[in-house]
Amino acid sequence: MIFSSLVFLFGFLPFALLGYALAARLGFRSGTVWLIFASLVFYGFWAPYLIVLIAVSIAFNYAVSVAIRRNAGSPPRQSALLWLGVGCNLAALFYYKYAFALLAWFEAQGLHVNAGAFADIVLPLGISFFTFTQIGYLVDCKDGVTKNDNLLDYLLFVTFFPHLIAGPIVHNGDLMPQFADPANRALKAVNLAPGLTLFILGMVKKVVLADPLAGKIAMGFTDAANLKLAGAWVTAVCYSFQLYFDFSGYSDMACGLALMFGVRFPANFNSPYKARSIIEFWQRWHMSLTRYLNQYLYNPIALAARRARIARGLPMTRKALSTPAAFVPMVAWPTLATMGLAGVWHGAGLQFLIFGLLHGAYLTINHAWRMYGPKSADGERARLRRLLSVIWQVALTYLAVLVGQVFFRAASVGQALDLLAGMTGLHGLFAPGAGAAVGSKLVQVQALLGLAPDDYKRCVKLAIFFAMAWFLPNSLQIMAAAEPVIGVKVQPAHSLLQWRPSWRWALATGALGFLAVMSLGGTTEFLYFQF
Amino acid sequence: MTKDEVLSQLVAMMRDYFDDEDLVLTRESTAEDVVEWDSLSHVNIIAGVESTFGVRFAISEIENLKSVGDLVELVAVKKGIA
Repeated sequence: MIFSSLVFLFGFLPFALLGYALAARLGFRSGTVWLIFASLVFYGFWAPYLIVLIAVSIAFNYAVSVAIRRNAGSPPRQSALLWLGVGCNLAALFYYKYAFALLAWFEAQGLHVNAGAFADIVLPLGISFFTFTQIGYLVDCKDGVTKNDNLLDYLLFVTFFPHLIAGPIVHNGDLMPQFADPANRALKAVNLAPGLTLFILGMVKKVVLADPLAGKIAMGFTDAANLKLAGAWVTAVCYSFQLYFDFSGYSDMACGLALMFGVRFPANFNSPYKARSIIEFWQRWHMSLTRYLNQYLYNPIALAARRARIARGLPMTRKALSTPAAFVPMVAWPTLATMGLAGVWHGAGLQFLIFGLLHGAYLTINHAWRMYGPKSADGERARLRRLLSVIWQVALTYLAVLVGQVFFRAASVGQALDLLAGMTGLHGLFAPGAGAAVGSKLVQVQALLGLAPDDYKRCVKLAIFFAMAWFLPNSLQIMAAAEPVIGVKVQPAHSLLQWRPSWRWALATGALGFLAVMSLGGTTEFLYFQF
Repeated sequence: MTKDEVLSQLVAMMRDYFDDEDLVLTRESTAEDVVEWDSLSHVNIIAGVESTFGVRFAISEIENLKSVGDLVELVAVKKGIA
């Protein structure tokens, strides 16, 4: 079910909330059981057979987690169980996500592997997310961080519908203490009001801002080979804002829903286009994924490299680690490996691998610049120079991200390269035969640049979007009074834009909600549902 | 070994790592207090602590070590210091 659909808004959500209010009165366990039941209804709404799949996945992982904990006295056996669990999870993910693409690729190379037999595999909704959640849980069990053996608690942790399909990727330690606290076990106005407000802010971003861009982007990417300079840029920038508002909207809605039920999720999205470096970008974009990758991929790889260095008796001071000979194995390798895998996690296809490696390269350069580049002394600079350097850093970061997003969206590497070629002017600046266009100056200029007749409106819209992304406080800052998420400290918004439980805010939120519901067109999926 | 000794050995290791003899660290110090203690240095420090004290950290433990005090406590647990 999609958050921004009528059946969710007016059917499922009231049903889930009311049922929870009643069940929570009956007792602690009833509330848990109700949330699990509602979450499975949510998950299986369009395709009930998917419930079987997620049930198998949960049963398997629960069994492994119990086995890991029961063998606390024998670390080697625990490790073997952990690897078995992680291996099976990855194998399932591979089967559903990559098997067909890989076999089809082999066939295209002339090998006969009968890829057709795998063509009917449908990617189960949210499998990338619930697989990651559960792998993290198994590692936590092995490390002795989680000790709770209760099946209902585990079911609730994995299936809780606000994060089930596209995150935020949660830790057991984030959620379980909150679910266990009886104070959270009831519907309360103090949670419902800010939760609903955050949800509506997210819905506006999704249906009013992101969705209307979809048509132009689909056309642009399909036609990438023929786009002139201006058209290629409009397409790419439109996509960068569709993705921005779609994912920001999704994250707000997920965090808002959780808050309605008295639970705070880890932050997922914090004005990423304000980032002044790629390192900072990843601290603001899909933050729960960054945290996950850091913890379960980057740290183990990086730590292994350092342990190996120590074992060889090499020095571990900052200076010694700054030599190029140390930089490659200690920084470049863990970063590229982590981001390459992060890219592939998003989907089968070389374009995702390139997206990941590109960001790995960006991050490596960013780290190298911090180590070897000129040391800036912010305090000593004149204000104007400081401002210029901020503008330059934000612009360069955005540009680097934009290039990555072209690969992220494209159907193939070729399509991405076509669009990038258009953006660098390789397809020319002007459309041939544009002189024949009749109409106002505006129409003629647009035709000359190879733009569609209404693209000037889109350009105005994009300018407004840039201003919003750069200068407006984000929803976490607006909702700061309610502390809607955990794990991040934000500067609260200016008092005029600061949410308060007041009539004025209730009316404004109601109007926004009305606008969003009226804008619900043919409901489109969230972009992150495909991962 | 006492927790205070863990702390002083840890501070000595950090001074060595950051190449800064004047570095002042207390239990309350966090990565935010030391300009050069970024995500990269964090892994380096963790590896340094492992070899200094002969302990090994688990994957799930590393992210939660946010302050010098956290490091001291975890090392103490691993070394069996009350």
